[in-house]
Amino acid sequence: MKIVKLANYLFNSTARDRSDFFWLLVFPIILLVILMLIFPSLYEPKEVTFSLTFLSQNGMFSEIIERVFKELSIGKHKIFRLSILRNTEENLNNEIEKLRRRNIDLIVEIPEGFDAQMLNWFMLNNLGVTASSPTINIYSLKHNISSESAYLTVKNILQKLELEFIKKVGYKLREVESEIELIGIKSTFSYIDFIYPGIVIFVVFMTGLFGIGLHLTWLKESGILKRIMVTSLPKSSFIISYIISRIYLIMLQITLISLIAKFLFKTTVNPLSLSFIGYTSLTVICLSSLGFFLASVSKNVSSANAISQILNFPLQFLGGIYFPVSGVPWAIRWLVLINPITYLASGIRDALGIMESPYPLYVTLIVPMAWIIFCLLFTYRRFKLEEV
Amino acid sequence: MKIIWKLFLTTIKIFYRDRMTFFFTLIFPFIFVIIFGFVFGSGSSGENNKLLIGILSSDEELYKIVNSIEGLEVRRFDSIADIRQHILKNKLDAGILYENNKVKLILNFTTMQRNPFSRAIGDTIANHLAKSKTKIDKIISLNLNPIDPGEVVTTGLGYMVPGVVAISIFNGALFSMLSIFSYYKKRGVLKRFNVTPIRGYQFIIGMILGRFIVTFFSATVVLVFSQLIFRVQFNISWSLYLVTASTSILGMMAFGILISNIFAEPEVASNVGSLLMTVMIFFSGVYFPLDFLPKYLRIFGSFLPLGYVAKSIRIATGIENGSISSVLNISLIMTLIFFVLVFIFGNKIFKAE
Repeated sequence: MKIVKLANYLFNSTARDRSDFFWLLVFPIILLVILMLIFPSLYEPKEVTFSLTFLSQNGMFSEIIERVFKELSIGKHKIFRLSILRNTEENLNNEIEKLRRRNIDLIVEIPEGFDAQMLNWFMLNNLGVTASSPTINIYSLKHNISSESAYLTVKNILQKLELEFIKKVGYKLREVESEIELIGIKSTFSYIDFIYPGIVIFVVFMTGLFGIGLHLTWLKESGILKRIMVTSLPKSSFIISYIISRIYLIMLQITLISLIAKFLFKTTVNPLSLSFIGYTSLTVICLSSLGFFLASVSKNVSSANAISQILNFPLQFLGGIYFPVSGVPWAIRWLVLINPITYLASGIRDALGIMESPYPLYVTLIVPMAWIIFCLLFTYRRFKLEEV
Repeated sequence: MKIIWKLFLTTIKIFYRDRMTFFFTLIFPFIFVIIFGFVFGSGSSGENNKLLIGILSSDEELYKIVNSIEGLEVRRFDSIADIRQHILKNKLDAGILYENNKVKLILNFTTMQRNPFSRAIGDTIANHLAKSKTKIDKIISLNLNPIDPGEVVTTGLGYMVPGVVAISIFNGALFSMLSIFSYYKKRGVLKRFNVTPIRGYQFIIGMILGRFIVTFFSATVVLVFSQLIFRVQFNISWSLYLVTASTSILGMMAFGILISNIFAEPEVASNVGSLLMTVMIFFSGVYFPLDFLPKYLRIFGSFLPLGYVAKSIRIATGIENGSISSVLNISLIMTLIFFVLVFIFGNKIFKAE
């Protein structure tokens, strides 16, 4: 009874602390919403319209190309916001400046003599002579994803147009289709299915670092632990109460995240499935052990805070919570490989059928278990010695 | 003057002794440069990195075609399973199979993430195969001219560094004001100062000057070290950098003063500051492109000051062209806001104590 009472007290004191309440309960929800606003549009852009300047020339071929771009620039689902100008040096320079200032995404320039070159190419081709192909100049902006995407779209359109020209000349083309098979993911990729287990790991990680590591250090530094130790309450009862209070907290966090993922973002992941519960339990034990380890190595709140922050971002971002990190260079791959979150995130996603794990199943279990053993053994030796 | 100088020196010492502020101002931006630089490094850089493509050894025609396409490097394998394994282990970027007039592009999800345009390879190869029997290589050649946004040719990582400097400025300036206007008030530091001969304006000038210098120094260290460690090219106009970085620090300090006055509790103010930092990191276009976001989010992003600070620093480092007058206008606005807020709230805070 005392154990439950103390657990309730410890849980309430954390939930009542504004900072803990915000970082452990509110912030993960805000983060999930932000990630869902940003990343799905990066993986599967929808309804993108590019600003394109077409610098034209007189002539039949230039007009055919111009007409194609005009057709793609009308209607509700238009691909381009098209601006057609005569190709003069002044216009080109002005448009390049606009491109630099990101007012437009791409410039397609039909150079002078393009039509003559095209006619020349077809004539020579009829005579069986291989002529050099006429060139269309394209100007894109570096470090700008819109401009790079616009270039790929234009390239694809001009390749298709080229095939049409070849057909018109009388050649028979092979009908070749293309398809993409994405490996490393299972079925259709859905960012919410990908991020939901990641955010579950994130909340447990936050609780491990801040809700256990930092909190326990604070209890130690402020002398509360010492005072508890001189009461009639056995040490084991305090430890059990503390663990129960953290389980309350983690269960509340996971329930909140699951409700939002399920009802707001419509994840297909079943949080009651065995694999989800199994890996989540492993995550809870592993990352809570990390929290106890942190409390054992930190002499005061200040150092615990500094260690937590230093561990927080690299382990989070290089654990594959937000995006896959299996192909990163060796300079930071070692951080990916020693990170327990890497294996927890890969394992849970593989088990749920979201994304294939680059590591065998047993590795995704053994590495977190090794971390658990190491952290708990270390805590057992260090934490006990300091407190007695 | 002596008092201001003493306070100034003390503030600098406090900054470097305070592990958290030191971490968030100096170490945190570096961690982000390293992580994002390596994970997304080549994806949005526009650099011409060759993609390694695996095909079956038996497909001679496909080999010739893929080999002739610019930007692709071909490796041959005996089996499809072998190709898949190499792709899964990130030893190959993609695989191409051609059977029954169908080109199948096998792509690793992580490759698509690093290079979103790799998914267009399948179409390009299909077009080449379609016309392969005609013996026409191409009718129209495309001559791509990638334009650098500034006068300096830099990598994707180099383009990202000024954004990281902006984040360092934001963190240093905002949280330093929260500590002066929020934590010092709460802990009674201001009250104690009020009973000393030190005048309110001396305290504020000394403290702000100290925090200003350390934030400026930290931001510059991030810039210079990134240049040295990652060998990125900048053409820094130091006079413009001095103006933009200084006024950005003042502008972000104004933000901090405003937050600490809206939220009286230091912990709440600090949480609001951290939340604001998270929102700015994601929506100001520093790390993640805003181009494909819904319109309302792009409009929201355009109101965030971090994007303007990053742009001003890009202009000052020569990696983006822009009108200097607009940079100076932004600088002037930030400075004015800062002085107005310091005057109003600086007076208010000491009178209240």
